[in-house]
Amino acid sequence: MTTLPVNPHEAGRSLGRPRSRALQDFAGSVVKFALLGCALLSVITTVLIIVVLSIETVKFFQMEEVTIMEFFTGGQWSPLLGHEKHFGIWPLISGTLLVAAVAAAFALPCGTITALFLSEYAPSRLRRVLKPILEVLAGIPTVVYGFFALMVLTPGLRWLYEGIDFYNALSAGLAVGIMILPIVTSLSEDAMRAVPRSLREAGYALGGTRFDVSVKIVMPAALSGIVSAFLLAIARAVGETMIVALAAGALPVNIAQNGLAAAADPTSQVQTMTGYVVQIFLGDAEANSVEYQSSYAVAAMLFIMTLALTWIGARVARRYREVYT
Amino acid sequence: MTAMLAETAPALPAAVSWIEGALVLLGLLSAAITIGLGIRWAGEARGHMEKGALICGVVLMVVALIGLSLSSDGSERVAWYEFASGVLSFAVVAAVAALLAGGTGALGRRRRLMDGAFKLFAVFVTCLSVLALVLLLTSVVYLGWEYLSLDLLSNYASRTPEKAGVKAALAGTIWICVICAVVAIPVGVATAVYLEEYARRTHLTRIIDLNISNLAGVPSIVYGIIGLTVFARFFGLFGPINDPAIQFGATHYDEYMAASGDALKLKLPNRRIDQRPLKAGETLIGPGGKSVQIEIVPDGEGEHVHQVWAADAAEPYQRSIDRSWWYFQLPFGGGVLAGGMVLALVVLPIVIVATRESLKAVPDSLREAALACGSTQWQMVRKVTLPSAMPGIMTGSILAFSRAMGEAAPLLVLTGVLFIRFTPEHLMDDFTAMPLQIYNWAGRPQAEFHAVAASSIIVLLIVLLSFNALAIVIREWFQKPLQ
Repeated sequence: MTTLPVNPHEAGRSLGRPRSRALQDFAGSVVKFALLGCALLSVITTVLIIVVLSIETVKFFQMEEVTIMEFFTGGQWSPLLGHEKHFGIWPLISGTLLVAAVAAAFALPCGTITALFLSEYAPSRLRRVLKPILEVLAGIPTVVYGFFALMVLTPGLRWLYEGIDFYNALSAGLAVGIMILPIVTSLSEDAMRAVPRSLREAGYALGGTRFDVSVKIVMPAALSGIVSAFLLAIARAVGETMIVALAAGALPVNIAQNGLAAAADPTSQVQTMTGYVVQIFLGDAEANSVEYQSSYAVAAMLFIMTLALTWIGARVARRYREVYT
Repeated sequence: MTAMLAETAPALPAAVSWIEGALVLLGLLSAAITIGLGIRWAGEARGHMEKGALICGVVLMVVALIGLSLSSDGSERVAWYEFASGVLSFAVVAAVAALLAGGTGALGRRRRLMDGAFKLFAVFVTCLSVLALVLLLTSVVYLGWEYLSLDLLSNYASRTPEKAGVKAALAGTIWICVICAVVAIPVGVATAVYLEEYARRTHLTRIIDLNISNLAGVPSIVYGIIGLTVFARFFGLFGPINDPAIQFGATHYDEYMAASGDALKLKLPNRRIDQRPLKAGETLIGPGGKSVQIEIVPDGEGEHVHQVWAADAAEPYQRSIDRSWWYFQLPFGGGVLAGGMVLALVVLPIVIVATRESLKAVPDSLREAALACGSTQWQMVRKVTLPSAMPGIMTGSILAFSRAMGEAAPLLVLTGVLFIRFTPEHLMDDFTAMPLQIYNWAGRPQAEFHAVAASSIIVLLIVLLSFNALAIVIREWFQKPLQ
């Protein structure tokens, strides 16, 4: 038996210096608190959003030109017209909803059917080609969609029908629709693929065609996922900025004067809530002026709308999920 | 109102003629797909009634297409209601034919017919989204081809489209994306590690959880407003952006005019110092950074660099600032640091969700093995869990990075559209970014600028798509099954 000469220095390095249990525990809890701190940053972000938006919105409502009543019920939004400033939020909301409705009318049916095709009909080779294409569509910056709407969709639509304004809700809405299509498709496809195979096999065993199985078994089983995908996609459409800033125009519809029918006309130009915020921060509105503060109030409304949509979406997904084992 | 609109709206670009071509091509392509798949499906169908219905449908489609092309040639255009009613009546006729054909058959046959029809429809709809992508890419390439050159990358923005380039925008984008990655990836990964590896299901973790899914849905423009108020202005607590309360790395000068017309700079001990008349014999910094001892001469006499006329010596004509590369100020102002931090807020939820997913995919057996070998929890996370989740984390981070690269709305709120002819040199420097530059050019009335915008879109898309390809490669090559 010979003992190997051990260099105590090296031994310490290879085995790890023995440390006291207390020191290790201390180091572990330091790391844990650092990680918790990072996790709390996201909560702080939310708190900041709520605090900043509510403080500035309250400042806006305290200004002379503004009444809360007019803001929530008024049909005219004309903050930049010298003497007659009107702050009724509905024209901006209706513009936002119009663009989102056009987008939804295109993207929700198309997205669901594409998802159904990908999960039920398409052979796996085709699926492996189509999925990355949709991912590419999802990775394209929104300003590119805005350019596409302005340079391609608008001239194309005007070629089909001359009565369309140069800036219009229709082409902006269609571009937003193309933008949210991958969201609808990939989220609802995930929901459909989560439906267990046994359900499908039962359907086929009863003599159902692929269509029967898709529409009568897979879709109902995945309904909660599909609906929450719809709501998330609509939330994205409502919050979309660059496309509407480029292609939808900058003139809020005067509902008070022209009625609701004018607000629902997709061939004319509209201003959305996001479009208004961009217009204010791009222009030279003075800080603390009434139109500058109004953009905070509009952003607060936008935040509440999208928060409600995502929240309801999450609730639907959790509450009505069919649990299969 | 309409007259004003007509004035402000730019004339239709010359693209209309090729759009006609593209539309006809799109129609022909969809028809070809429909017919081809229809024939294949007809071969599979056994009853001759279905075949008859299909042939009816194809003939009708051809008739409709011919009618459409005949009525839309030359100057006469189809009104949209004519077009819509044509499509609608075609759809009604086809549906009636299909129902008639199916209705006469047995139940099973009708269902098979439904199945085939739906499959065709689904193929058509799926092709629509692929066609949208193709149309988008081809139109951008078509419009931007002309201005695509290396000069585009090396020129600054310009008022003449031929000389306009994206150098400043590209540099700005790189700066803010690197800052965004440096901020968002560590914080995002740490948050995910805490939630997946450390946290027990308490109220706090449930709040953090809910909060992250809500943050992912917040429109990016709201982050822009928050960034402007918090990062750029710091709630106004530290004074205005132009006169920050805290400032490092800046040297302030008073500038005097020499008799020769050159500027002479007097270095100030601090920026709050009052102006004082210049004394003879003081040392100032002359042109080229040389120190000169100045001499004060009566107005109108002398013409040397170090001679200053008495009237000019009474007060400096301007104050100037030299900022070193480590210049820092609080509030940040609308510089690259604020821009990068705003983007970090936007992409943080993406990084967190991606990291959590890949941490979830690490099997518990690995964790248990590490713990069984006597490692502490942090050692386990550092040496076992994080390395095995690394491909997923990298993929998520790259996707977040490319999202940040294309984000324009928050930067638009933060900085507005600036005309910038330099690359950023310190963290507080003004910047412009690729999407902002594209927005600016696309919104201008001249068609030449639209072409420049299209070619910068090509540059941006090439960078983005290569990042996405990198993410896919990492996902495919490095993701080993861990079971």
